[in-house]
Amino acid sequence: MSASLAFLIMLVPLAAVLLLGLAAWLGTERTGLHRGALAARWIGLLAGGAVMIAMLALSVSGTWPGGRLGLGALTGTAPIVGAGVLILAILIGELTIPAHGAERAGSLVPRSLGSIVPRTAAAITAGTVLLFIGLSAITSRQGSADDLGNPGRSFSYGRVLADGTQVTGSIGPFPGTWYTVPAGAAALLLLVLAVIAILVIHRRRPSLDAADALLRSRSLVSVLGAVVLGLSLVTAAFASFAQHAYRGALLNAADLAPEAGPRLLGLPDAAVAAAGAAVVLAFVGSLAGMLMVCIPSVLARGTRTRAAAATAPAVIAGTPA
Amino acid sequence: MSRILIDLADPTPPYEQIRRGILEQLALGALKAGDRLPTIRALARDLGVAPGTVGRAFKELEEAGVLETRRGGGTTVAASAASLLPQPSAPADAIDEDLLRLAQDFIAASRSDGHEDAAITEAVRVALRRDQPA
Repeated sequence: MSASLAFLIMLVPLAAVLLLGLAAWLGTERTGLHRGALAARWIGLLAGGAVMIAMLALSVSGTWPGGRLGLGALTGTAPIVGAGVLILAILIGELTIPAHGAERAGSLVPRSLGSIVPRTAAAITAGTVLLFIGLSAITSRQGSADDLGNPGRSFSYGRVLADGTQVTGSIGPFPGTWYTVPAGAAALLLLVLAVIAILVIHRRRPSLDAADALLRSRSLVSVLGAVVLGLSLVTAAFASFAQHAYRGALLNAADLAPEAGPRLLGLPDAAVAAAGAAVVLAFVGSLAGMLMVCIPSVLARGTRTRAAAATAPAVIAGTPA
Repeated sequence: MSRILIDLADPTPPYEQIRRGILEQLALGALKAGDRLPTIRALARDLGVAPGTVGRAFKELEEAGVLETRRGGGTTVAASAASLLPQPSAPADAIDEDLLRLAQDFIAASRSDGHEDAAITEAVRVALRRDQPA
């Protein structure tokens, strides 16, 4: 496992604990998380992390499952499943906002999704999804069968030089279709779950809090943050293994043909650097996702969300005094 | 964001509370001519009441010329809504000067704390209700 990936795996849970601790210390006003929401994030991150680690351990050890989903095929889905658990927890936390007593609040401004999803959060999410899709597509195309015939588990190359020298080899694990197809399916389900969560948050009955729209917006940022976190972790892992494979292949090829470069292996000149850049981007994305989950007020501020115009709190329309 | 509150424990019928709430928001300037209101179904879902309850409030406001509904265009605040609002019951010069001074001090202190006029009005209203004589 590459050093950068190992660093990421160690850093993410540490970042989670630090950010949630900071959120608890800053308090509701500055983070936009009421008590139920903060508790939900603690539980969600712990449960999601536990599920992810359990899946990783079982998948890598080969204990479970078997067949097409064996040999570590679900390694890439583990962070995504963890993110799904986190989204469920955030949703449950959202639904703890009290809004069912005798006093009821109703917005007189039509509430659209576009007005409560901060543009920056949407852009970060879109960028993360595109990076995941782009990297997966590239490595899926480059992947080939391993020595046991399992498709998309290795990066293989075979070239015959002008002087007859054969440059062949195979390096794995490589994030080919063996890994990217299950991860892609899991990512699709994660996005569907995120859409459902966003719709539930959008449609829930308003609480009596005058800043209800802002609270709603911050919950949406956290849901998107979970998506960003899950997909970024997978992307970082895929990019890291791809970079490792490219580097290994280039070193192997260089032993046989010192003048060999990436093109000999069918790679662009900047393959190693590009994979490295993807690792860095995904690493930054995972931290951004964590921040969006734990302190959503960073992106959903009262003066910047389109829904928070002049905040005119509720008027009690009962019997006048 | 403009909102209304209703109290299901209040003896005033919910539709009347909704009707008054919309008029209050108009009087406060939180709603203006041309502003679009949510659909009856959406507001009913928010308030947890039957759509017919909201529908009745909207209908009465439409008949009074405060709201107008166009097919496909939703419900909006009528252009002439502001002129239809009830005038203050007491002219400004009939208010006790000492009381007015107290109110101005309270308003100044509230505004310096960052509260908006609508929030200040609501706070006074809630405080008056809580201190209702038994």
